[in-house]
Amino acid sequence: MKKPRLVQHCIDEHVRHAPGEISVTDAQDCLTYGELDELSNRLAHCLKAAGVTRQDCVAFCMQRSVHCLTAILGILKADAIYVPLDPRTPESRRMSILADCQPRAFICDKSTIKQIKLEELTMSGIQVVVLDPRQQSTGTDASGIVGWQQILACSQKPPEADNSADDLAYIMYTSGSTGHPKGVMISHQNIRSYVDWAVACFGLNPADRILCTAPFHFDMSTFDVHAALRSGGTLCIASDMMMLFPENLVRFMEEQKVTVWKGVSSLLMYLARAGVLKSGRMPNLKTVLFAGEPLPTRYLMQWMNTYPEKRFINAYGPTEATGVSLYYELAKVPASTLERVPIGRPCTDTEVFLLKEDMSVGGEGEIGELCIAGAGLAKGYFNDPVKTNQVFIEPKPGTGRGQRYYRTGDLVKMRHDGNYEYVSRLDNQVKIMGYRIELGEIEHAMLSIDGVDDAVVIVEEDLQSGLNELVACYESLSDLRPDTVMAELKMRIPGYMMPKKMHKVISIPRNERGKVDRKSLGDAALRMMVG
Amino acid sequence: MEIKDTIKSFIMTELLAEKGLGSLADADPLIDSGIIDSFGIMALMSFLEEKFSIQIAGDELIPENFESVMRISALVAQKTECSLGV
Repeated sequence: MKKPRLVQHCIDEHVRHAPGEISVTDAQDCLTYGELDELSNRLAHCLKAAGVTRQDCVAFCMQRSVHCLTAILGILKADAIYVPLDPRTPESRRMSILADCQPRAFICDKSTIKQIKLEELTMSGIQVVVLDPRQQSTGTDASGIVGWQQILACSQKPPEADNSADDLAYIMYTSGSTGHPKGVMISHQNIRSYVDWAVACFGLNPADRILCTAPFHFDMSTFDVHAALRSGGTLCIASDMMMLFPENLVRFMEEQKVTVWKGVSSLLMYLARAGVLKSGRMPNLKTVLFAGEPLPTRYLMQWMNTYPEKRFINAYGPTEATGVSLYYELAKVPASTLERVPIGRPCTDTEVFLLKEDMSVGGEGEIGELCIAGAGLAKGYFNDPVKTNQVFIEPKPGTGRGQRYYRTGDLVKMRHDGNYEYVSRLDNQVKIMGYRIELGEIEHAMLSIDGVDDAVVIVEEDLQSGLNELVACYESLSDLRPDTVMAELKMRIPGYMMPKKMHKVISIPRNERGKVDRKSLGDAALRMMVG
Repeated sequence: MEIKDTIKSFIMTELLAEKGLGSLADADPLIDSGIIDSFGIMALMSFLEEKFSIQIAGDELIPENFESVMRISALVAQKTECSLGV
């Protein structure tokens, strides 16, 4: 059978053959393939009528629900690019993303509409669409907002697709070191290649029920959304509440008969710590992928010892390479907690190599910066050719590297058995709870607060929980208090970037080049400096 | 310090400081308000287990037990009584 050219066409076959099968469900609602197709067609026509054309950006900011998929597919069917936004992100960050991607339309729901400054959006010529059956009446007023009824009034026929496979499907914003979020540009082709690999590698089929715990503004969701739709299976969207209370999540997985889960490592760790892993539970779950950050081996052992019948896969991949670039399937339970679980080998259509400090290519037993080439490679950062050129390296004839590649900034070791093993980050970019955070972005935000003279953020392991947490320090000649800095910072950066601790220090130690030596800085050392 | 005050002080300093709020009543909602988020719940759990020498089981880690300072202290009180054999 001919492979679908565009991401949204992945569902066409299931729509024809099994329109009554469930494509997506959350704890409240579900949509069949037929319904999802019809609704997303209507939304696409509605967006087009509002002036959205090929490769326009359309942002969506919604609570976790089945209609996040309606939004994604509807935007793609309008030949546009979807830009998912975190409903919890502070207004200033949201506005900075909107200023960067200049969306033609903004899709929200009954609850997220309350968080946005409608006037600012409409003033900038952005069409606001409320995609929520619970809010039927919106849109009939003079504000020009399009509501549910108007969407339903649009044609249910599939719109003509103008996209090419090389066109962008989404832009996902990640943390940027200069204080501005970076928009990673991912094409239809990028997603297709990734998802085709995933479907083949894990044997995904219409009987599969894939759990979605990743936020939609996070690239982990690419697997959930697109692998589920491509395989003809069902996407089971867990609520935010379930992520807080593991028993609820496990119960949801059992009720929904979830078969595949790609979860962020910290969530797997939390489930293990919360004591909900019990033999016989989640009986339908066959395949567990963990990603986002290393999963401490002792928690993996706990999972594997409790569920010897399930497959466990360590997945690795930066947002800039779409999804999973390398993976390692555990053949047996690690022998000790000291054992490092490799990130494995590259997926289909992906090539990797190590770049050593002297810019030569590393071999067996050596450590270097992991570089990725292949079909998953993003086009770069939106509106930012400088940053793009720093990490996306164009091929140089005659150097032996004939392909464009991405420098991950991750230090990785190539083991003698051919598997790669993650070592650490090269720079100040860290991962907390699976979120990629540039410490520079937090420092930048702190420095924008009146009275903060200097700022530094480091990562410390909390001795009680064993979790990494952010610790911030600032210098101030005024009597600016830590809680005031926290309150100010909260208005500037999203919650996941917020430091857990804030200390006022006399002076931040720097080396002769003016750089803070983070590695030698500990929380304890910083505390001693508190003035 | 009473159980309630110990918990409240932890929430105030560790979870609330960043929100710049000065007060917290025993019955104030912690979940719906977003005071306890996915980071907060792990920190809080570790704190309770360490401070009160208790183990919180998965079936106790439910919204009802964490919706307010009052409910958390009730859970802790019940667990510490159990461990004392009262």
